[in-house]
Amino acid sequence: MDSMSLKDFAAKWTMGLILITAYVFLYMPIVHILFASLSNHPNFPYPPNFNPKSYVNLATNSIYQSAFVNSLIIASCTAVLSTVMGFLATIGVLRFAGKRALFYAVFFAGPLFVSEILLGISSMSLYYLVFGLQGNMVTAIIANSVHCFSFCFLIMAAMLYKYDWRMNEAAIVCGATPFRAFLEVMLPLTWSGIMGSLIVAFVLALNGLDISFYLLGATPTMPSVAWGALRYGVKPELYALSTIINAAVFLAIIVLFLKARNTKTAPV
Amino acid sequence: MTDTSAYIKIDNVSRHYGPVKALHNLSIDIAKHEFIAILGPSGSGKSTLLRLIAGLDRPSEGRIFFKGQDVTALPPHKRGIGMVFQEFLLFPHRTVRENLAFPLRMTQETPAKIKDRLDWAEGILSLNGLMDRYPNQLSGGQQQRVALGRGLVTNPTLLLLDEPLANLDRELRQEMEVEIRRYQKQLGIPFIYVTHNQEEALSMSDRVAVINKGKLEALGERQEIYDHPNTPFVARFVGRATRFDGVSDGTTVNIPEHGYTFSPSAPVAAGRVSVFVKNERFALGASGTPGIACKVIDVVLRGPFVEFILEAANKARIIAVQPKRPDMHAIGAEIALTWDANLAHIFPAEA
Ligand SMILES: Nc1ncnc2c1ncn2[C@@H]1O[C@H](COP(=O)(O)OP(=O)(O)OP(=O)(O)O)[C@@H](O)[C@H]1O
Ligand SMILES: [Mg+2]
Repeated sequence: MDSMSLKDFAAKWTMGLILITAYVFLYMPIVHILFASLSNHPNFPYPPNFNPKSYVNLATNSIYQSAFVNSLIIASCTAVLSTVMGFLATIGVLRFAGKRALFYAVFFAGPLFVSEILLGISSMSLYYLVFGLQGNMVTAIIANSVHCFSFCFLIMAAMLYKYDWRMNEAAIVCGATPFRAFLEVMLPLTWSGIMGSLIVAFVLALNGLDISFYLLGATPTMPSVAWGALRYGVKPELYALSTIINAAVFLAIIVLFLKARNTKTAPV
Repeated sequence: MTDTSAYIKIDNVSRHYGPVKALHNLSIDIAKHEFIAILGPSGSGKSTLLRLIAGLDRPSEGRIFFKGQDVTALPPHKRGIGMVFQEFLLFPHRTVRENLAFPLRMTQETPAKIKDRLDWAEGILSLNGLMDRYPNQLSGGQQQRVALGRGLVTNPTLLLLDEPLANLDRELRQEMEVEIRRYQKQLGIPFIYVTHNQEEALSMSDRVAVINKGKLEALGERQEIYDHPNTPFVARFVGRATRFDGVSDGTTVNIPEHGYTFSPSAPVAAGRVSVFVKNERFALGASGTPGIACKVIDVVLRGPFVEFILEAANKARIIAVQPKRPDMHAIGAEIALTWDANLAHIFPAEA
């Protein structure tokens, strides 16, 4: 009896330990950046201290600011664009492709395997040659959407695969137009997949260096400024900016978590 | 040419999926106040027919009329119908109240009217105390009633039901059968009720349409369909019947495998025939009297009825249903099986 509870106790603590180790492994670099951004000695910020100087500098540094704004614009537009396209592709494959669904799906997922740097270089020359477009924000958004599309497609396909399309029919025979049925029934029921797709595309486009680098040239984005900074010694402002972005992403994840928890599950 | 006076008219409708003829040249007229059951085996095209009436699918050929108006090309949300699905398909992210209000909101009813209709549905379907629950917090029967309510709140032109009781247990099913029939009589709109369960069809409907392989096999009063099937398929599918292969000489029918001969009241064309006898129309006589000599090998009690599992001399199994009596035959008893010649259904043998 006693040895049994001892065993339970040991198992519980071992599992707890493994969990903590995993989290430490995942979050150490992120916490390090937080400390670095707040430290007087960003190169070795231990013991941690609190100095908001880098944040103040950040607020007055126009390069970082415009990089941040540019990245935000590219990431949000890419997230929306690739999610909308991915959603339409998912509906096409699941609803209208019939026996060839797998075939179409594989080709929608294909760009996943093309490396980002190739896509960046190729998009740059293609847009210039064919459309005479210089690298600008629009081409960066388009190229990023190409890259993110496949991720969005896979995420939403996994979610919508389980969706019962007759829910829409049920709404339609209740008198809802197809669009109303989509808005009031399908969207709330598949919200978590769509939100997941938005977040992934946003994060990918926010952090993607190569595409922005080749398509934007002189226009600064977060990753390109960070990369440039690396070559001339990292500045604490960069740490501050990274910290802000990490915080924003965490906030988004927490919102998603709460949203998902409140969604009622379908009756079986 | 087309008489469009019927309340609901399904006129020569076909639906082909490539080479698959899910429905073929089907016509049914449905009167207001009518409860009609669509009965057929799995894959016979019942759901296809319902989806055509609802507008969720378009016929390959033929037309559909509601109250004389051609609705063939009208999209489903403009048809003013109610529909209840086998899986209920309640909106899981909405409460019972919101589920019931949904069709009313779609038709832009005033808040006062919506409240009025919700109160009506709550009362008629006994949903008191359930209105603020989510569908996954309801029992199967309660979900069923909400689904029914969602189909009925808008005062639809007609209500379509696609096997709405298939997911319920037997007790509840019988209870709901009575309820659904009561609502139909109360509301005075046609209910088109799809089922593959012949008992359900017979217990609830006014008329039964039997479909098989996309074709209408029979359409008529339920008693008529039961007592006077017009095709071998209907004879076999409606009610429980036993089939014998026989040979007719014009006046008498012989069943060679059992060495039994009987004389139907009406003359039967000579040749090979199929004889169908409803299981409850067998008579069990004393051993030695004329009839098919059988041995009772098992007795199954079904409430007020008894099923005798019989074995004939050639080892063929026959089931005979009788009212339960104290002096019934025991397992092992030898009996002679006969039937009233007028109540057997005789058709020329199918090729
Ligand atoms: N979208 C479709 N594409 C191809 N064939 C179909 C389609 N929908 C139905 N069918 C075929 O049409 C026939 C009738 O189908 P239907 O769903 O109407 O049968 P049912 O009578 O409702 O059967 P069940 O009792 O099993 O629900 C079947 O052979 C089915 O395979
Ligand atoms: Mg069906």
